[in-house]
This record gives sequence, structure tokens and C-alpha cells, in this order.
Amino acid sequence: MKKALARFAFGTYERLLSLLAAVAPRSAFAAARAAGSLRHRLSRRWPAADEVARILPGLRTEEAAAIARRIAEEEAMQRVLAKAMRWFGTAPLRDVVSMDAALEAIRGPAILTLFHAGALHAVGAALERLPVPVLAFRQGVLLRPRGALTSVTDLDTDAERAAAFHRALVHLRGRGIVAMTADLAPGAAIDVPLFGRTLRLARGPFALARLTGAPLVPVAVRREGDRIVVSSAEPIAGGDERTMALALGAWLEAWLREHPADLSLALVNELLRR
Amino acid sequence: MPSEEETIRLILRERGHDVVATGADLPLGANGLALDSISLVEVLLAIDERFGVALSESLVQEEGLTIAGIARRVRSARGA
Repeated sequence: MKKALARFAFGTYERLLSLLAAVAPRSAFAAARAAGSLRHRLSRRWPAADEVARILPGLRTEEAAAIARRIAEEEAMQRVLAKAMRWFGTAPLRDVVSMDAALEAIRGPAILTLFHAGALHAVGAALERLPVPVLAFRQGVLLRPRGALTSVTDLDTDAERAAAFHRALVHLRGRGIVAMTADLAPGAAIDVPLFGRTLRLARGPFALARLTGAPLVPVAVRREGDRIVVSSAEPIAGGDERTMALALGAWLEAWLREHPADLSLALVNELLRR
Repeated sequence: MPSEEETIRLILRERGHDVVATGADLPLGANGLALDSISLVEVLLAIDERFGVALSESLVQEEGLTIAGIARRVRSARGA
């Protein structure tokens, strides 16, 4: 009963913060992180410190606990951000999200590869401002066509995935940009090592790179203070699909070692499952 | 000259798919050859190229594609 009440109270509070995000996104996101911190202090779960320690062995107990709490804070912010985007689109994020210079000047063809890490849900606010038409693959409802983000493709069925892959090929051959998450995706996959475990990456971006010669550009979306920064890493180009997948996995591991609080709950669960 | 069906089988074999004993009405995807979405698109693009047609964009959206079905579409596109 107590747990159900707490869940209801936090859920209601997050819904109110999502409304607040329409007018004061920074305050709403800060309050969401504070609520996430409190919830984690009460529950010690989602994620638990020992789950973090299993993925990042060698941490002291208090370090693992601190990272677990920060992950919970970012998760709470992501829930509020996602809800706000469902209700208001990217409008609340336009002054919050910025891009690095390399992304602002990017030209196609290029394949932007994203991960369920950091503030991924905010990426639409950056994609719509890119200087080249962007085709994005999605599995949820957060990305909507707007600005440069001209086309959004669902990936729920085999036929949708095949059609999306075909569209992406045509789009890249027309010197466009394709944006897609490389992890936690259905369909054909390539396994790569991550923290001594296995992460299953979608084969799509690597097959697209092989067939079109377009570079894979790893993209990170992370909160820095009260801003969300979308930044790109050195492109990965050439080689077979597995070589490119290993390079992308190595980049992700290095990035997460530097920013462990950006390990999302989804990624934690995925890694612990394998 | 090989038929459309034989050429499609050849394209599949070139990509490592064993279709020697595969019936022409067996789906290429689920419940059949089990080609994933990427392999299916690669096969359809090769068919476009080999026959000089542009069918892949419409075929890729169809469920239950078979060798026989694609061969019919190719014949129709080439006006045979």
C-alpha cells in the first residue's frame, strides 16, 4: 500500500513537472532530478548500487551507490522530458539543447548512431536543426517530423524494418543524414563486448555504411549543468560490419567510463541480462 | 537464357542462401527462408540491378514475398 502510494505521488509529481517544462524546462528538469534522487534514497533501486558494481567492477561501494543515484536522477529527468515532448513536442527544449560545432556543420551522407544513454530523448531538438535533411528511425512517439527532421520511420514489424532500411539507403545516396539508435533495437544484430559483457547492436547502421560508404558518426546526448549537449565523435568509416561494430562498441565503453551516470536503466538491464 | 525465377534463385545463392530445394512459393522472410530485413533489401536491390527494373521500393513493403511472386512482378515490369 505504501509503495503504491509512493508510486502514485512520484508519478503525479512528474506529470506536474512535465507541464511545468512547457514554460520553465530547466526548473522542471532540476526538480525531476531532485525527485529522482529522493526516490532512489528511499528505494535504493532502479538501479541498485550492486547492479552498477556488477557492470563497473572495481568501484568502491560508495562510488557505485553515488553512480546509481545519479543514474536514477537522470532517469527521472528523462521521464519528465519524454512526457513533456509527448505533450508539447520539442518546443520546451529549443533553448536547452545545443550541438557541438561539428554537428552544426555536418554534411551528408552520414549515419548518426545513438544509444539509450544520457539524455537521448532530447535528440529530436537537435536533429531538426541540422543543415541537411534527416531521416530518423524510431520505435516510440518522441521524434516527429519538424525542420530538417523531414522523415521519421517506424520499425515495429519486419516489413517496416525492411522498408525503413530501403528508405535509409535511398536517403543516404541522396546525400542525406540518417539517425538511429544502435542498441536495444529489434531485428538483425551484431554482438560486441561492453564492460566485459555483451551488447547487441542493430546491424542496420553498419550495413548502411557498408552499402553506401557513408561514415558512422557516434553521437552522445548528455546533460551538462542545466543544458543538454548533443556532441559527435570521430566518424567510423571503412572495414566490414563487425569491425565497425567493434569500433562503435569501444567508443561507447570509453564514453560511458567517462560519464557513468549516463548509463541508462535500460542499458543497465540489458547488460545484466547477458 | 535462364528464367526470372532461376535468376532470382541464383541471386539468393550468391548471397549464401540455400535455395536448391526451396519451393518457389516459400516466403523469403518469416516462415520461409527467414531472411532478415537487411538481407531482404540487399536481395531486392540485386534483383533491380540484374533485371534493370525498379521494384525494390514497392516490393520491400509487401509481406510474404516469394521467389515466384517476385518473378511475376519482374516479368510484368519488363512487359513480358
